[in-house]
Formats: sequence, C-alpha cells, structure tokens
Amino acid sequence: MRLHDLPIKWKLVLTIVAVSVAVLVIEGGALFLYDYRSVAEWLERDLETTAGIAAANSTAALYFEDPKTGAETLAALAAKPAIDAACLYDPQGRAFAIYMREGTQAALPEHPGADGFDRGEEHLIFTGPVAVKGERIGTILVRSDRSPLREWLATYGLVVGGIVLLAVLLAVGLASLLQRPFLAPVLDLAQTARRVSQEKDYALRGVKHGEDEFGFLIDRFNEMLAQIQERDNALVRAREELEDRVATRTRDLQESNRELEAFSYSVAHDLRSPLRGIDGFSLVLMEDYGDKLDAQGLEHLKRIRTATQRMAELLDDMLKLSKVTRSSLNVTTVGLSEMARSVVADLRRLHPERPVEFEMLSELTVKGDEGLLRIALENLIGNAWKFTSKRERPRVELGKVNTGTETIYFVRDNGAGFDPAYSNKLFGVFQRLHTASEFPGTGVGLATVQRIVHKHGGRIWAESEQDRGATFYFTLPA
Amino acid sequence: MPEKYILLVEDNPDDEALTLRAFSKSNIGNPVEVVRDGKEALDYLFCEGAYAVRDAKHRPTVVLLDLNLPKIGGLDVLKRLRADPRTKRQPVIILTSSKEEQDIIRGYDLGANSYIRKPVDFAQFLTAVGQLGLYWLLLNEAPPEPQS
Repeated sequence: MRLHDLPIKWKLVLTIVAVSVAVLVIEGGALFLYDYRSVAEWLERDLETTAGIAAANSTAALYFEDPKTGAETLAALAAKPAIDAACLYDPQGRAFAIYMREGTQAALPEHPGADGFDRGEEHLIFTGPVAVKGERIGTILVRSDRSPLREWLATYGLVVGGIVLLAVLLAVGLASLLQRPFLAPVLDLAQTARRVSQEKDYALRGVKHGEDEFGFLIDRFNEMLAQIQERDNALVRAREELEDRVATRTRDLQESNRELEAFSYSVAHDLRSPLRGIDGFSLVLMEDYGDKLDAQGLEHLKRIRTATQRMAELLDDMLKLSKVTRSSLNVTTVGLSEMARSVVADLRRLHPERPVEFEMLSELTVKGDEGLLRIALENLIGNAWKFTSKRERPRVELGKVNTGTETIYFVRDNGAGFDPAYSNKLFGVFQRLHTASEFPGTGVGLATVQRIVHKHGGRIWAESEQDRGATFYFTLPA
Repeated sequence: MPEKYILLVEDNPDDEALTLRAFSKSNIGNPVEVVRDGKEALDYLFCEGAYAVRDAKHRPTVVLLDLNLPKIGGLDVLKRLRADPRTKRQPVIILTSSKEEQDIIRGYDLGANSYIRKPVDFAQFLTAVGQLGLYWLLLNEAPPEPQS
C-alpha cells in the first residue's frame, strides 16, 4: 500500500511518531555525546590524579631505589577497581615496580611511552613523571580498564532505547486518541456525502464541529447541497408544470378530437337524413303529382334531386377526408405497382369504354400505410383517368425518379392539365380548377392525397401546362 | 297463424313516411308497426309500459332499427334484445344513415342480422327496402318461438 493510500488516521499517527522519534533521537544523541565526553574526561582526570598521588608516594622508593616499597605503594591502587595495572620506571626507563590486579592478563610495556594519555581500545593508559623538586627521577604508568565505560555506555543505551520505545508507544497511543476530534469532521462529511449520493436526498446537511478549516469546508459543502436542492426542486417543479401542461394539452386535443369525431358522425348521419327527405319527397312529387306539373316543373324537380345527390357525394368525400386525418399510420412494406394495377383494373371495370393506356416501367415497393396509400393512388390515378377523358389516345404513367437523396414517385397523364398559375389552389379542400360540366368532382380528392402524403412525412407537388397533361410528384420518407 | 308484420324503429317522420311508401311501392302489404324511440321499442318488444296489454306471442317478423334514436340509442336497444331470452333470436336489421366502421362493427358484434345504409337516392332506397321485405318476410325462415 502506498503512503498516499493510507487512511488519514495512520498518516497522522505515523507523522506524530516520526516527529517524536526524531526529537528523541536528536536530543538523546546530544545528551549522550555530552555525557560520554564528560564521563570520559572525568575518568581521565581521575586516572591522572590517582597517578599523581601514586607518583608522589613513590618518590622515596625511587629515590632510594627500593622496589619493594614502590610495589607496596602501587598496591594501594587496588582500592580503585578500574585500575588493573600500574608500573614505576626508573630514569633509564626500566620497570622498577609493578602492580598487577589479580586475573589481569595484558602485559605492561617494557619501557614507558611519552607522557600523557594513551587511549586504547581495551585500556586507558596514563604515563606521567615522578619528580622531586622539579627533577624527574622516574616515570609512572597507570592503566585503567575500559570496561566500566563500556558498561556505562550499554546501560545508557538501554535507558535511552527504553525511553524512545516508551515515547513511540505513547506517541501512537496519543495520536490514536488525538486524531479522533481531528478526523471526526472529515469522516462525518464523507458519510454525509455518501448518503446524499446514494439516497439522492439533497435535504441532508453536514454537521459542523467547529470554526476551523473543516468547518469552512462543511459550510461550503452545505451551501453546495442547498444549491443542488434548490435546483432539484426547481427541476421537479418544472417537470410537474410540464406534465400539467401536457395533460392539459392532451385533454384539449382529446376534446377537439371528440368534437371532430362528433362532427364527422353528424356529417355522415344527421346531415344525410334531410337530404334523403328532399330526394324522397321530390320523387314522390314526380310520381304522384307528375301529371299536374309541366315539363319545366319536372325539370326543376330533377335538378333538386341532382343537387341532393351532389351534396350527398360531398358529404361522403368530406367524411373520407376526415377519416384520413383521424386514422393512425400503420407502416408496412407496400407493393405500389401491384396496388396501382388493381386500381387500374377497378377503373377499367367502371369505365369499360375508356381506352386508357397504363404504363409502369419499374416495380415499385414503398414503406407506408396500405389503406391510406390505396386511397391516394385511387385519387391520383382516378384523376388522371378522368382528365384524359377527352383525349384520343389517353395515357397514364406511374414511375419514380431517384435524385440520389430521395426517391420521387409520380403519376403522369396526357390529359387536360391545369393552368400553373393556380397550382397553389390544387390541394385545397373543395378547390376545383375545372367546371363540373367539364369534369365532375367534389374538390376533395387531392386534399385527401396531400394529407396522406403529409402523414407519411412526404411532399407532394404538381407540374402542368394547360392542355398538356399533368404530373403529380410525391415522396414517401416513411 | 297470425299475420307477419314489421316493427319500424324510426324517429324521423320523413324517413318513416318514405320507408312506408317504399314498402307499399314494393307491394309489401304486411302491416308495419312504428315506434319512435329506443325506449318505446323496448316497451313494445317486452310488452311493458304503454304496450303492457299487447299479445307477447305475436312478435314482429323483423325489426328495422335506426341507430340514432332519442332516449335509448339503437345499439343499446339491440344489446338489451340480445340479452333477453325472449328476444335473443329476434331478427333485427340495422337501417341507418351511418356508414361509420365503428357502428357497423358494433352492430354485428351485438348480433345484428343485417346492416343496411339508407342511400340518399330514393330510387335506390326503394330497391333496398323492396329486396329486404321480400327476403325477410318470404324467404327467411323465422326462428321458433322461445319456450316460456
């Protein structure tokens, strides 16, 4: 685990422990060095003093060349346990008297070295003069065992190590205790953030523990939550408003749809009844009172009946148009060519006397509503059939053009055509560009076709010149 | 054997007069009873209200039922006739101006025996009524009387 991934708690503990240990090591080290030097110095001083005393006591022995007394004098050094050996040398540097603590192995040098300290690994040796009235009469060597210093060093190290260990333990304990008030706000904040994100409850707030940096962080966090809560509420309100509006619109739409349906039903049903009365009683008049009317009167009655029939047709066409508007789009693959052939067959049955040539160069398949497309084709081909009635060689064609981006279908005839100046009126309901005596019709057919094409998301337009035939183009993106 | 007759349910007096004329023009001499709304039609067929004293055994051979009727609509009349054991087999022909697909579907679903749209052209209407009378009064075998 990387240091960065350690929980903050352990980072804190580690920091505190590291700091404590560093302080202790530096302080302990300094203290140790100082103490070590003091002890070493003191030991040397003590050795020097002892040697001085022993030298002073040995002057007589040396002076009178009495090694026995010299040895006795040196033996007094046994009182100092650290001193394991001592030696008196005569002025020629020969050993004169020797003291050797029992059990001591290390031999003494045969001749004394220079005056002063010899700081060896095992021993500290002091060499000094033995003098009487300023005249050197010999040399004294006192050797001290180093082991007491080493023991002291070991004890000292043990104590310091113990203290460091204790301090580390104390630091860990204290750090564990102290990190709680320090970390609690952070852990609380993390907990709150987790709940907010899990429960999507933006009403939750972080608990503030104090006015420190964490307090500041929690304040900002709470401010953010408050803003989110506000936006959330605004969003909910907006959505509710939108739903309300959609519901209202839907209601309105359903209402107007119902009204439209009621109206259509009325057109189909109620408006036909009076027409039936007019037609029926006109016929009654003709049958029962025909002998009382002159030819003119009978002609008027005939016209009443014709007009009635025409109105019935208009009502039927209007109803068809409204049905097209109301019906939903059920898109499947439709064989347009097959459908066209069936429409043409119907027209040939209806008008067996018409020698219309029908041409279709390619097989056409489209995606669309079969029922609606049938109505559209019936109207387009039916129109072509009707408006070519005065041609000697009437021709009707169904085909397609690919522009690369879309496929355009067309129905073309060589019939009467229309004046392009009025092409904008072509698709309007009840709009006719020819008189009823020229070509019969209600002016609903092309309006119906346009609605069907628009329902498929397509476009419809026409090109023509008076007496040069007409072409109706349409697209079917559905 | 009592005489075969037709029950015409029609609220429009013009249509009533023209229908009656069509029957006589088609040489259908059978009597035609006329009721003018859905409630009256049900009273007549179930011998209730004003028709409580009518002979229940003497049923119309065929009922010509308009759909758009005051009080109780034609489809509701049909539904109640089909729900009652006395009239569930009663031949009923819907004779109406409506060509709404929904009306046709519901009419057949509710058990209409036939559905005829009144044409505006009276000459056509005459033909339709003539054929209808001939078929239902002469050719069609009426359902047997329900056991009571």
